[in-house]
Amino acid sequence: MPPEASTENAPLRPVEPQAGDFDPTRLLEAIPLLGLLASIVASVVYGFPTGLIVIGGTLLLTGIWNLWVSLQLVAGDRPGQPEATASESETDAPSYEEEQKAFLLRALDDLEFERSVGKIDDEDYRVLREQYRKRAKQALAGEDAGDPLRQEAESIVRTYLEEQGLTGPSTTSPPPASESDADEDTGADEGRGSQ
Amino acid sequence: MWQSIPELGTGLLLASLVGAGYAFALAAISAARPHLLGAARRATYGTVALVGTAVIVLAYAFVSHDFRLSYVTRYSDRSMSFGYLMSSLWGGQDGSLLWWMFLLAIYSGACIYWLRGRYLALQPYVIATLLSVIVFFGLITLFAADPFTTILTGAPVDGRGLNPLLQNIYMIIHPPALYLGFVGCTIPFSFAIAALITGRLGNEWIVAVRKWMLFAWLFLSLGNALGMIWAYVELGWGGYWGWDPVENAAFLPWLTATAYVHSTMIQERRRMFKLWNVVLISLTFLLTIFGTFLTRSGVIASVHAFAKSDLGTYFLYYLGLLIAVTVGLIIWRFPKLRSDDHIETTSSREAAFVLNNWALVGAAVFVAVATTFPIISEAILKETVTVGPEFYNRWMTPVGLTIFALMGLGPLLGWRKTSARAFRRGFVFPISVAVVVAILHAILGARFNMPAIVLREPDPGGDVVVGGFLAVGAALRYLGSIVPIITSTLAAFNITVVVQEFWRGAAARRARTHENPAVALARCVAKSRRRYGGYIVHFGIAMMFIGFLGQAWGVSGQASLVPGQSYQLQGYTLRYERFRAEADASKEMQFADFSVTDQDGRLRGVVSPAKFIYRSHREQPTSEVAVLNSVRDDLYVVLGNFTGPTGRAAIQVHINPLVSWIWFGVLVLILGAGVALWPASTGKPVGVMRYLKLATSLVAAVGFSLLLASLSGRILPNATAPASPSTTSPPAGMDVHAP
Repeated sequence: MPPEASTENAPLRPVEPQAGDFDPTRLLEAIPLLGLLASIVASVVYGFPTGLIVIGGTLLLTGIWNLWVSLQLVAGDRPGQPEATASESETDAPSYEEEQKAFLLRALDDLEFERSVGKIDDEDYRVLREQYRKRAKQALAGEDAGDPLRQEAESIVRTYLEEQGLTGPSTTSPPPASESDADEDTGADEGRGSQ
Repeated sequence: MWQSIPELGTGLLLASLVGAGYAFALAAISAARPHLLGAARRATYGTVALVGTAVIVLAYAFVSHDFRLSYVTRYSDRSMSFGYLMSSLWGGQDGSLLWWMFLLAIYSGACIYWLRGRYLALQPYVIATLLSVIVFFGLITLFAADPFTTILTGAPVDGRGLNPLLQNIYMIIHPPALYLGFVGCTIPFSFAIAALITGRLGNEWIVAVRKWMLFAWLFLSLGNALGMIWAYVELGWGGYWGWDPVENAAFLPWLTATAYVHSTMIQERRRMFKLWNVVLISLTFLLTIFGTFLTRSGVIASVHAFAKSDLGTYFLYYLGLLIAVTVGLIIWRFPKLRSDDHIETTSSREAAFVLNNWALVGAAVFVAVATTFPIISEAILKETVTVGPEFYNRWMTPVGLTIFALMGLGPLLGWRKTSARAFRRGFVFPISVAVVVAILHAILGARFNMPAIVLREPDPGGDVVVGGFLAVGAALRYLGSIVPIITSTLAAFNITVVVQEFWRGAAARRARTHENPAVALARCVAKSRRRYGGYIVHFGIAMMFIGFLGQAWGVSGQASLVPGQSYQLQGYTLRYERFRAEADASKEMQFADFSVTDQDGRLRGVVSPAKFIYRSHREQPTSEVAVLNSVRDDLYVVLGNFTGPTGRAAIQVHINPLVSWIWFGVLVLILGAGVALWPASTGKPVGVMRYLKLATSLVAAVGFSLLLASLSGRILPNATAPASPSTTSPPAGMDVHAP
């Protein structure tokens, strides 16, 4: 059994290459699809049993090749990708933080919607909105942690606050989105307007 | 290749087992040594491909009529069309287990491909759990049910053919759909186990499994519905659900999965119900294995079950192991499974969902106990007590109606609590409509042969089974008398709730954006697909309940006619026009043609119930049901005995009101689940590989469709014949179908 996770959902961060990058080795992923196409052609020309043989042969080769690559990875004969990115070309998979952020923003949206149709009253709305916002801030902080742009922004804010003589304990924590910003993001004003 | 197919097939099964074991070991080790995760994933892909190859080899054996294989001999013959040869893959015990493993392998491959950089802390355990299940099925397939076993005495000239009951279009699509549902439950279970092992029991795994579970639930629903249609058109008793143990086995995981897809929302939103969700996911998976045990062990008698075998022992031990591991993990992680919040009031959505969970799990427990009661009574009382459909109907009706009522209540309640104002705004209109419908039903129902109250006669059989609960049983019987008006009222309530929700959503959006109503509605749905997809599913289920309600008003009759004579039943007149005999490569067919007119004398159509005698199963003639569908009712005609020289035909006629509503409801349910499953746009730029994959996939899909279309003549040579077989139950041990 593994050691206990220190925080319940502390995410591991995958290294994410740019989405638009093209890696020629990814063409190998198309082999099963090409095999399927070849089997369709074989079925039409020589009959369905032949098509089955073609697709079976493609699958067998794919299986052997993948197991061979796996053995090479275990033996260290093939360079593995950085541990956190697993093995394949996962450039477009959203991270856990992104999914959490998207989910929480949707949840906030839903909350606004429920308020706009009168399903929840103002008190419940406030309590729930605070809960979601707190979780959203945690997710956003997790997503941006270590981001140089964020550090730069924090530094600018800190400098500005120091210049204005407004430094205090709250400036040491990541700056949360302002109330008005959050309301704008989630359509809160729109919801209120329909009350 | 022809010479070595049996060895090749068995070799592939062995290679799959070795590959799965290797991938399992790598995945387990990669929890501590993450650099091996990539190797584990590659090994899984390799295993998936090997299992796929084994299935292709078996398919090739079928289409090339390789009767050296015992399985091919038992489930096919040379006269069978291409489509039925393919359905033979899962038509028997051995092939169906390989098919199960194949689908699980595809699911595993798809899940691992989808995971890629996601959920890295959970991945090793998810992969290991998936592979452990594949290993189990690999062991079973290789050592207890190898479909590549050869016949020692040599290959016969022809095979014995597929059971005629399975030679039906719905048997080509029902088992794969149900299997997709059953096997799909393994993915959420793997995530639950991974979450329990790692202690990451927050929203992470809940979000990860959301769509996987919804997908499995959709196919569980579809599989059950297709099974109902098959039973309706094939078994010829006039109904679609007989509470057969195998039907129940497919229904059980659907109940707990339904509870889960609701319960998960509470954890996502309120961080509550963590224990509920882990238990529901685990229970759903365990019930799929339990159902498989019931179907394959031969411990219960069912028209759907596979032949008795010792496979049940394997499944029983495996089930025991799974229960021990799951319960152990839940106990270990119990402190982390406590809710972060609590239910404030009973008039909240959270409270309604708790009730929903209890009602659905209660229904599952009831059905499970009733299904296994013959085994329990045999073990304890030393006598087999049969539990019949009447018993289920009597007890499940109030449970079903409670769930139906909760389905309408849930969307109207708010999180945390529902204020008096919200209560009024939400409930006044649906309740008003429901009351109006109830009054109209009470006044006008009898005029349309759909009375609001149908008095039920005491059923001695049912009361005997109820035993010590005679009084309760009698009370339920009287409650059953008013079921029609309760169901119609609740259906009206539910449908109005859904319509109102769409209306309120679109109105709120219009107030903000001033869009045209149709655009506002469409954008409202597009923005909250899960919410509105769920409402559409509710609408579909309400339609299905209306269809179930029709059972209360069904009438039946029978007659023995010669050509020229007529028979009347509740407004329908059937005139026996002629008798005809036909034949094709696989069977002889005898049809009796009836013209059907309604009470105004208008011709409604022609029905042609038939008897089919398959050359491979002459001892098992099947009765082909003929159904004349309409929105109001189905005219369902079964041909019984047939006397050749005079053409005298004995027929059974059933008028089944509102059955079509069930099938329409299923279509609406599929639409709703599709809306909920439809992916949201990420707004990210798409790489060139995506376009390449999309183009290749499209070409492959179109090519495959054209290929199937070109083969259609060979796939379904009997497509023009009326629906399908059979009042004839197969003898015990005949494989019909099973999950």
